[in-house]
Amino acid sequence: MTDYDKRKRKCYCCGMASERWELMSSNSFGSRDLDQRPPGMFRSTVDAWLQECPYCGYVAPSIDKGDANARSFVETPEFRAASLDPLAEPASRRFLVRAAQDAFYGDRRSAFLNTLRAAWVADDSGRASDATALRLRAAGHLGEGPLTSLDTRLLLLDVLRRAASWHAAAALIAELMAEELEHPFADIVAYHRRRIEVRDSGRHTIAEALARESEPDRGEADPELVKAIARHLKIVRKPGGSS
Amino acid sequence: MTSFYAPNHLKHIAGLEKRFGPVSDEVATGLRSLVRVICQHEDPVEAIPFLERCLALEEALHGSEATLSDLNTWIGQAGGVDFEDLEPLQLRRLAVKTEVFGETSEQVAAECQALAQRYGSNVPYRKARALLERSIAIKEKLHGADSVEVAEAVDLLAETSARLEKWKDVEADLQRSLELKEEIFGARSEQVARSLLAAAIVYANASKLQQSGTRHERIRKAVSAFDSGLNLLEERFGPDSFEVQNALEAMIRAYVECREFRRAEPLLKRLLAIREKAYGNDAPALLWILTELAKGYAEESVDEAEPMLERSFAMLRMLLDAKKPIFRPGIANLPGNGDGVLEQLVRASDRFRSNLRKRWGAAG
Repeated sequence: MTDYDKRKRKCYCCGMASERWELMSSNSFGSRDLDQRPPGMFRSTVDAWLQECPYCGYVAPSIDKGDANARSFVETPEFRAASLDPLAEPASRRFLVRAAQDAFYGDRRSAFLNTLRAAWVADDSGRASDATALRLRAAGHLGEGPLTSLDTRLLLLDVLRRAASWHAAAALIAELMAEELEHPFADIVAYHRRRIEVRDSGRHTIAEALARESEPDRGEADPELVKAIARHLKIVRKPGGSS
Repeated sequence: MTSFYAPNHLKHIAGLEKRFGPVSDEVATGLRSLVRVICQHEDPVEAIPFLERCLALEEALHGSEATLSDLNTWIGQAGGVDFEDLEPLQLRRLAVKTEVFGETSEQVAAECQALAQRYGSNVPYRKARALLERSIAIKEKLHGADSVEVAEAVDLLAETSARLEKWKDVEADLQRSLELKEEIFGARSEQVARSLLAAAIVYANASKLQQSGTRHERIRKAVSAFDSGLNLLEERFGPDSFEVQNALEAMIRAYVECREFRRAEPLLKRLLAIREKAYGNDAPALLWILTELAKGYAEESVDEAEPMLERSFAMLRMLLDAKKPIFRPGIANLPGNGDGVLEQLVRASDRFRSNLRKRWGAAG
């Protein structure tokens, strides 16, 4: 069950009060996508994850909260460029404004995540080419330098695959496989490798990736293999005698 | 009798008794001299029987006031003595002062406070509280109910209750202190701010081991008192002042102690920003803040934990670098549940990795 409630908040940056429907509760049963997009009802609440002040354009999870960076960012050309983007729809634009603020202050991972969320909004609206462009833009926020965060690299891998950036995805897979990752990370990477081999840029969940990577069911053993093992055991027993 | 000095002194005192009589100044002087020698070179407890004799003689010869000097001297030298040995003599001094100076006197109020502080660290809380209430009543008569002296005495009462974790009493005492300070210094004074901050820390500490409903109520009170106190300090000293930083640090420690990381987080981030601005991005003063943030995030947020852990480890490496050995003792002495910063970060890192595995689908 997803609940919304109408709340009035005073903007942290301009001090003006405004009212909006806010997300009170929701649920997310099931498996997340491979880019960590949540499942269940919560999945469709994405347009309520960020609030925007209708007076100054400040964007935040809760517009009555912020820090010194927030106040100074609303004065920058980067803020104006992002908040006045005529092409983006409102929910997508809010994530892009937030991403612009993250990028402005050097928080590459947050800029990447917020741009990815803008791509989710585009996915939901069926704007596939916008979603691809936004995924590439998200990857761009992470820059060319080496990434140490495993979590970020696993997210990036899905972003590159969904954007059909096959070469970059394959290079990242090679890098991750060289690290001899443990379960479940190795299974996720192997799943991506197979999807990339067949040029699949579709949406998949973590559960799918892990289900296909699980060991074969031992209850359905090959009868020929059982016979071969039995023959081998007879041969081994001979020198020992009766047992 | 285990005193090395007593046998010879007692022989000499016996001679004085024969010559001047058993109740004489000379015998009292001999006993006083023996008490002084024992206190200087042996255990002051050994001197108690001789002190009792000396006090009895002085009282018989000159009245109880005359015993004060010897009581003061012995109590002054009895710092390491067990409280059960000290208590009877300190109570006796209180009785003498009450008789000599009268109940409503500074001397009796001070003695009550001194004795209460001893009780405060020696379990009989009710006795300590009764003495402090007595001291407050005296000060109210001497200085008026709304006086600085009374406010200080009420603060001491709150401190004593807090030390022994009598939370209900502490809350009532702090409220009393707050009302007094509003009356004496004004509602927007520094003193009122400090009372509010103390109350906030007490509410946070009192929330530990409480049922969730009561705990939530206490935390709500803590947040409200802290916000009010901090506002007053900001108004008076500025938003980045040392006073504000100290208040943030004290409240952070209280929230962390009662496992309220989400309450501590905005304060940690604010303190981090102030100190980054003041000392730079790689100052040792940031390490404990980064460590607390990393520990808190490692419990609940993969997104924020990783960069914070990376930054904390990088800073620790930089500070422990052989080129900067000056920081090593400082890091070793950083507080934190009995562990050093490195141990705390390693544990947080393990926790983060475990949460990351769950995030990517691993069972349990």
